[in-house]
Amino acid sequence: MATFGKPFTREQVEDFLFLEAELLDSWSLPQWRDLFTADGKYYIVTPGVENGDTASPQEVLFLVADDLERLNQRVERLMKKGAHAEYPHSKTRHLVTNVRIVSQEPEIKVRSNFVTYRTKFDQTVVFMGHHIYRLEPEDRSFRIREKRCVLDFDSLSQQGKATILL
Amino acid sequence: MLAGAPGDSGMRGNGECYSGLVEADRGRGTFRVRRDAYRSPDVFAQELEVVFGRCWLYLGHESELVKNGDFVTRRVAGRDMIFNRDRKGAVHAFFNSCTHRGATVCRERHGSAKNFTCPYHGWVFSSEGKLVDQGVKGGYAPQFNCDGRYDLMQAARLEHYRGFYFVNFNARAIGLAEYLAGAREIIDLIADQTEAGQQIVSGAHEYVIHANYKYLAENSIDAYHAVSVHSTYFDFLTERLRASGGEAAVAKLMGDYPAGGRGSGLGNGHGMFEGFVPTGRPVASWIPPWGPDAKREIERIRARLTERFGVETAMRIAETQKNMVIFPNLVLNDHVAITVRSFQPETHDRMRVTAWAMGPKDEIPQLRSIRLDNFLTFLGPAGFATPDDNEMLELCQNGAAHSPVSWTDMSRGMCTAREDDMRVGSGPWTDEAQMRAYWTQWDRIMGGAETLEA
Repeated sequence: MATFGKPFTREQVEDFLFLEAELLDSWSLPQWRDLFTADGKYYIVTPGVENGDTASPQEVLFLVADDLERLNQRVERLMKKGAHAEYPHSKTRHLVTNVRIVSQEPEIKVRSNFVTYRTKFDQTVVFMGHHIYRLEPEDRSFRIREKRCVLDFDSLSQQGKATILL
Repeated sequence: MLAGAPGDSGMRGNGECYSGLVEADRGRGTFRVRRDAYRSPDVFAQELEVVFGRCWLYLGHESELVKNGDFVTRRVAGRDMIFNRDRKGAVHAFFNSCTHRGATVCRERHGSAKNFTCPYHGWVFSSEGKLVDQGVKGGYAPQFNCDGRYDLMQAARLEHYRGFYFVNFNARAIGLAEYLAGAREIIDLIADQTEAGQQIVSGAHEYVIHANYKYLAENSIDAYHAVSVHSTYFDFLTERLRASGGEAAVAKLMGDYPAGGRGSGLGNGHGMFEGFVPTGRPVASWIPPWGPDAKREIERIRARLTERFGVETAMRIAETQKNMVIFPNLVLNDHVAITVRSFQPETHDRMRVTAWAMGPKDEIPQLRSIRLDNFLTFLGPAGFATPDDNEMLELCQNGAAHSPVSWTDMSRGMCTAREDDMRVGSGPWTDEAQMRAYWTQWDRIMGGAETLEA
């Protein structure tokens, strides 16, 4: 068994990302939220925004720009019947690929590609793009300090809503 | 197609109906719209010609064209437009189609250009729309374009009110200011928030809703649905304000919700509701979670507003939330943030929405950040409220398409309505007077009673 410490291997990061995807697909959202650090951030950049990898939600309108407090509220909301857009919960399949550790110091930065399918009322839409993670090692796994989702769209002209977590 | 279902006796009451699709019955206290108005492709085809061919339609905001040469491209009622500021500073609305073979001339969504060159045969149009080159030399008579027929075609009319630019495809249409009627006052209350001017912030939310566009017009000025559809948003708000004791304000609002605000028709089909919701407003209503620096700045803004407009108007600008529809397809919401939202009909059961955040050019970074944060929390396709609205509109479209039920109802408050012209009716914000204002105008235009011509 490989030691768990720097330098981390791609396989170790992939195991973590696959676990994350599984939590999302099973709507285990409170457990997913627990993957974040206390100062964790979760971003989805608005499609069409230039420089999505670096744009700031303080200057440009994002789709999602959550700190842990609002992420808690988002998760709490999505588990209620009153979150109509996700009632009944859609079926999702998060595929994670092209995982690459960009840097190990001073923090672990990872890029990965994703394709996520969402099905509700017999209609399936696809979300695709890339993620940029800032991870922190903890207890033989990782925690997410920041997750930024950059979509490969000009708009949500096919998807309409971005109510699932990407 | 327009005939009622079996057992339906059709028109009743005093017959305020021109289109055959709207029924106002004051005696009975009902106001109904035939579901064909949402679900029929034939009605939709007629609307594109009659409603969208005669009304003023929002194109864009002056702040999107900062420098001479700046342009944006967007679709308005199915027409692809170039909205630009030419090299001398004049603003235009061109149809984005080459006058030669019809190809889309400009393929960028925004940018700056002295000329627009068609990619097909190389026809070049200046920023004023003049045909200045035809690619390969020779082959045309000297008088070929002497009357300008090969210049880029412009919308028949282009006018603005306080920086909001609208087009009209009917050359004989009444002017924009007259068309906007009572909506002008609400636009003023937005424009007057800053002496530096309002601007569109980058990062427009663009998305599709699989529903007739009029469902969104109704929903945008519907205060009745907030309690049922947005319970999770009010839960969020209560939680957010709990630490500072502000949750009592949310409880008070929910305790006597109909008393929280007023709805009204503003003339020509425009409608709004206005009320107090304790969410905080970057202009200029502070809540404790924003901290002391924001408080100081908001007090400064408020003092300046009072100086410019007096206590009463300053209070209205600062504290009340306003949701307004400008007939037929523009929303200006001035609540937790300012939204400029246009929705373009694509088919009878699909619309495309573009929602921009607007804020003062001289806003300090902290308030801009709060504004954007407010916007995406409530609004937008990943917000805590808008997706649930959109889900409701899609459920309405589905229900209308897959049932024989003939009518949709907007009677709330009709039993006490006294005004002769429902386009200027009003009532508690949970009434449906503002939707009746919209539909009354729609009915008049569709039935030919309103031409909107000078």
